[in-house]
Amino acid sequence: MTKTVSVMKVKKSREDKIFYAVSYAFVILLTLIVLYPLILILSCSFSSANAVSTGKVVLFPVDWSLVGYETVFKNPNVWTGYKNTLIYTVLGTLVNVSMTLICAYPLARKKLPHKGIFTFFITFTMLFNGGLIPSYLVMRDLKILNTLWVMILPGAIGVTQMIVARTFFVNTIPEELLEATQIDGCDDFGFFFRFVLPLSKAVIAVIAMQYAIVHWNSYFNAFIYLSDSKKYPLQIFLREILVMSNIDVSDIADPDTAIAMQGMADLLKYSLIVVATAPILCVYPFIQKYFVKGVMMGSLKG
Amino acid sequence: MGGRFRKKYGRYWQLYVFLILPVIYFVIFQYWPMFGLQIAFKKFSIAKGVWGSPWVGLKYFRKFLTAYQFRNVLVNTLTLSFYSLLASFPFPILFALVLNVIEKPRLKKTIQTITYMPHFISVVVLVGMIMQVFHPLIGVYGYVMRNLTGSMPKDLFADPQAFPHLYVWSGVWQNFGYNSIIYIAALTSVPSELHEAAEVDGASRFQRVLHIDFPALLPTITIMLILRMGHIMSIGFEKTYLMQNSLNLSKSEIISTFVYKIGLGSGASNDYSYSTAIGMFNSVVNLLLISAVNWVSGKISENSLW
Amino acid sequence: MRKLLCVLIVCCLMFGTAYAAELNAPGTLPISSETIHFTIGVPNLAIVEDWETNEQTLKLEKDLNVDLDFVLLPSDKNERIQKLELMFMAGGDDLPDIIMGDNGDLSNIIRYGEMGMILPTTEYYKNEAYWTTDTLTEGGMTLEDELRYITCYDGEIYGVMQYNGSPNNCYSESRAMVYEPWLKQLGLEKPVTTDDFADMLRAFRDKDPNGNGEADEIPLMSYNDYIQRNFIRFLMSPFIYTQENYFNWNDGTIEFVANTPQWKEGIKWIHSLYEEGLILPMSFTQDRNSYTAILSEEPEKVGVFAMFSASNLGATDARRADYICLDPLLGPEGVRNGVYMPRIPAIRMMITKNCKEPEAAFRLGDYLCSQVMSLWTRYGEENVDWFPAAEDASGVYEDSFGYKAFFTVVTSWGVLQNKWWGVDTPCIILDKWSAGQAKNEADIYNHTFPIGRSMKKTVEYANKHPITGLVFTEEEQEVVTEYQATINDYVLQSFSEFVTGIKNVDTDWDAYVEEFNRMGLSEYMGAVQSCYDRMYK
Repeated sequence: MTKTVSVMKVKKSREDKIFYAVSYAFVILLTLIVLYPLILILSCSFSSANAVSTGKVVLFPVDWSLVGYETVFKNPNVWTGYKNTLIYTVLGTLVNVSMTLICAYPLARKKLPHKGIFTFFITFTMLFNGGLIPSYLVMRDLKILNTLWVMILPGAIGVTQMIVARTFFVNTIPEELLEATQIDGCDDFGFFFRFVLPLSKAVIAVIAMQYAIVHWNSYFNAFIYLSDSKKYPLQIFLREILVMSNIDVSDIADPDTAIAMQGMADLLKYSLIVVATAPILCVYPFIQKYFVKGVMMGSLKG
Repeated sequence: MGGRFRKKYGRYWQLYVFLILPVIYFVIFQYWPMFGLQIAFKKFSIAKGVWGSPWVGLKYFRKFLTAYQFRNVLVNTLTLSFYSLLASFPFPILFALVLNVIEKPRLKKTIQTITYMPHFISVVVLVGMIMQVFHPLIGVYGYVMRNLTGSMPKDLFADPQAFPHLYVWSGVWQNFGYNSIIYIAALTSVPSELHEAAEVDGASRFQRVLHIDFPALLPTITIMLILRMGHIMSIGFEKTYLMQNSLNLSKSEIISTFVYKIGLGSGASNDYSYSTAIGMFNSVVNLLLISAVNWVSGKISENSLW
Repeated sequence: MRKLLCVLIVCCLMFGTAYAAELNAPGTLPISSETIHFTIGVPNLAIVEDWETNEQTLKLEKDLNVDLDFVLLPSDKNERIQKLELMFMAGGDDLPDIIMGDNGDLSNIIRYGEMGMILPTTEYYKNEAYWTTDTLTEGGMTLEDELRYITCYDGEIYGVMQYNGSPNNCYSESRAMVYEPWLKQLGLEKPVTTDDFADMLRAFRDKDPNGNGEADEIPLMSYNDYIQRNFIRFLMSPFIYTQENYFNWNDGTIEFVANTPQWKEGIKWIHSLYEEGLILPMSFTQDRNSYTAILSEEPEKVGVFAMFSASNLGATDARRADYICLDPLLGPEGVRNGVYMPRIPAIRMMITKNCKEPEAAFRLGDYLCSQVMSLWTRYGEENVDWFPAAEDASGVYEDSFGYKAFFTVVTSWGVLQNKWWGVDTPCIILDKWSAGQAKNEADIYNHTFPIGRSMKKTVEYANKHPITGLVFTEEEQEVVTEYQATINDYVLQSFSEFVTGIKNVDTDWDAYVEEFNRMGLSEYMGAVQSCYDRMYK
């Protein structure tokens, strides 16, 4: 008897050990593959323009130089861009998350009549889009062109995020919990605010992050709907630099201009990418603490 | 009559109140602009505007379907898209499951943060990096292959057959970390009691992943897959455009790059009607696909979109 | 009675100032005694740091007594046009007074004019273009001639012109350059015939001109964007004239060259060069960065490149001055011509319907075309950024074109600055200025000097009938848009496939030619011909 048990135990731990080893190797290998290009970008941003243009940067900075960063930070557009992007991101994400949650929860309730129709109605908009021209005309008619609202309202609810939230609600908020609270006299509003929201920290964190990233990276809405450059987000400036590095010679009357501009773009490109992306990269570690296991189960037992 | 209405809907009135604002949002910002879809059936000119332009019926749809390039761009778009789906859909799931096994929390967090960063590299920079790495003369690929085989390796960018692989796997590389976040979040709601019980019963770590973690992800996986179907025809324009060259064009010309060249062709005379018609064609195909997959999913599991 | 007269006078005065401001005569500065305010939409080119505080802006405000505010538009041309068209469609109420930049050709602009979004300047050009006329006369040109190119087919002019004369760039579209030190080292002269050229490439490949003992020389190279430009044009020109869109003028008829027997011969020859390993295979796929990296290697690796200049090399790389122009090659059938694309004026400023002072706006645009402002916008301030050439100085392009030295430019172009506007706004840069740089032997990094002294034969053998400046009607434009991109892409793709050997030029030629008919070539050329006939016959 004892012998069999100990044999089983040994077998298990070797199988597990191999599995753990393989898992660790897998993720670490992937991380290294991902890491190299990231280091490359960082190195380019700290190299001289010449080194970058002539492809000399392979792993570490060549001709260490802060010129890229100096040029970027000297430019007043970068600072107004940062400020605007922060405002749009924070306000926008607040609007996004609230609207998404109040839309997703009712559709997650099994017994809501006609919820299929609502869901189809909403999903349809993911597939069909009126296009640039009518969207522009609508914004004009709403009189929100060139205002803060035009950067926040048009994307207020992302269908994908809404479905993600709905899926989460369906699969992690059990019917029994709802019924238990209903017996105690809790209504839908109360259930939502006192039970659903606190239990949904993980999904709120995920969709908030996704929305924040969309706002942070957004360039298209600003370029179409804004005309005051003081309202431009940071990404517009980054985009203009990236466009320059790929500029088509036939668009510039003077080919030497094109080359000169490309050279300048090469210098600024990497520094600007680091400057524009660093803040949002720092968001993730804060979000991670919401991915905590088994937060919910405890409340049911009670 | 009033009583029956009350009975059916009455208990849910608060939920409908929740839905008021979202519905208003969708009507104003999504459905109202759809009036512009009519220009797909009109000969649109900016002088006459949306309402003043004359009707031409299916002219632009016919133009697209009989265009010299039509079959080629359609096939390329679908190939690229489905290949992308097959490669990039499972990977984040696999990654999330394996990462979940890792027990050291700080290592886990570091890995998560690093792997999610490439998502932010803009397309222009990404393509530039790929082209540099795979250059047969001066790239890492060239250097390694020359030392291995002693001769100049093949130029992958010159080969149309290599294009889909370059396109798809660079996308997987760029996005697997970011796309795994949602699965990682879903895995946190797996109760630890289930794992404890299984361990006591003698299940190995691997078996636990297979029988507890993976099923817990199934609803999320299903929904993400269905949603993904709604974007099949909308495969990215910018990355493809940057990776195109005169030798791989037979495989790298897709619907969106075709629209760009035709629509913005010479002298920037935007043919809005034509591009709207093609966009509508894409949307219809997307709708058919997503409906089909949704229906199948509804039949075989409990998860469906609507 | 007196009281009534006073009231009348006051009313007249008020009436007068309520309408357009009183402008001084054309040519006088400032434009008016009142300060006139304009909002100007400009492309957000990163070359200009801040339009509001830019020294050129300040100078204009002072000289003309105007007050300028700026609205930034996207720097990418297509995006900018898209945004402008959206604003037009929405009624144009939020348009700035003036829009500057390259916003499409005449076939677009006339539509905006017909919509009433932009105002015609035809009347103003009749009597008020003082500065423009002054500059043109200085350059030996007449206003009447130049206006032809910016007049739409309804007879109106819808904006202010820009002329960016750059003789060097007119000849650069089919240029290839060779590394002179290697020629000297191997005792070679610049090649004349296609055979000479091939021999030269073989010498580069075999004789180790960079002296490092390895056969790592690359005889001929280009990169992906330039295959359809300099590469194809330089190599095909000894067989048949090759220019943008593959048109050729033949006694009034516009022909398409990419399906002709001469084209086939050209491809055969280029393919043979490829087979011998004289062309870098990656030329077809690599991007600019890889190209520059190879070009910058030590020791020198590249013998010939098909690009308009060596300015890709780093600014502190002295080898920039070592590449000289190759002459157009003489083909086996005696064909010898390169591409010469003349510069023509284009519209770079439009006055929108929201402008309350269109006449004053025109004066602003006209002043930008004055000699002082034109030089300022491209080269900067006299005696600060550039200095007039000494009496005995020789011009860089004197050998090739005969342009005397005009100035020496000190401040370099293409960096982020706040002194001038650049060349996206109205200006008239005369040929004799842009080709009038004085030779300065001390400036070893200047890549234009070697170009200047090696261009003589390029000028001599340039094709005399370039086809450019076609302005299509709406019907013609529809046909052209439908076919042009597909046809041009097919030519380029097939060219690349024939040269690299993927397709066989002997067995696959007929299918290739047949394909053009299926693509609608005859309809396409029909539209092109009808446009040409309408404009130039």
